[in-house]
Amino acid sequence: MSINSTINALIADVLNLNEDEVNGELSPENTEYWDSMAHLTMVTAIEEECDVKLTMNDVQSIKCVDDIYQIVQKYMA
Amino acid sequence: MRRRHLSDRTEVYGIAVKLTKALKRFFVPSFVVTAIYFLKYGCKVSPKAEVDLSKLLVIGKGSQISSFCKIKSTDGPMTIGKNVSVATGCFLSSSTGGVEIGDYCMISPNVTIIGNNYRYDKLDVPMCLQEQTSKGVVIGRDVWIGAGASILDGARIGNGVIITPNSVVSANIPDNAIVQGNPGKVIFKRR
Repeated sequence: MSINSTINALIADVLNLNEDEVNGELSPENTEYWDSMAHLTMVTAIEEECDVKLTMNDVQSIKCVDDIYQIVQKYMA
Repeated sequence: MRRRHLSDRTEVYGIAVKLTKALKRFFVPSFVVTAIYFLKYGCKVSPKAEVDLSKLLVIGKGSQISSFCKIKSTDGPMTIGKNVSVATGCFLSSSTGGVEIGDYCMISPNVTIIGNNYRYDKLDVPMCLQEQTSKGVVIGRDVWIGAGASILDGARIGNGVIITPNSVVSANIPDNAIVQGNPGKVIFKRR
């Protein structure tokens, strides 16, 4: 779970939210600041923090925070 | 008031250059400029764009310069590659340092590319009378510059870069980066 909380902290930082507001269902539809630029900034931040490298397909397949958890865990495993 | 003396030869030469520049800008009709660039380089310059008639301006085949653009290139070399599209309202100025734009670039509306800088180290002299410096601007191949972005003197932009709208870039940008903000920072790498 520690990875997920790190990811939550990064997402909260990029999207100007409190950390407890970030959950698995968070997506561009229900947040204010998640645009295509924030999407890329988020991916870069997560890559640096978790030491993973996502492909372009992974980046485009992210639709909500749950997808990020799954992709990062796939690469961490 | 002190009279200006025209004894200095360089000053006379400078005035002559300015005069020919002004005469060309006033008396050469824009459709003639369009025709000259079309016949010389095979590029499409809008008759509503203000493009300097100068040997230092080289535009590649298939490039388009849209209306209301201003291209100043009498002081230094300006090289625009093949199939570059410059959208409406852009301002491109190559001072002595020169501006180089690679092939297949997309330049969106109201982009400013400035190749010179004023010095400001003397407090008692107005800045416009102080020396100008010019390091030049180099933009690589296949670069997409978003609307309203400013590219300032000394910028070196790599190939395949995306610059988001309203960014300000004056530094080195590596290949395939996506740049955002003022000062422009790399937020992502294309892969």
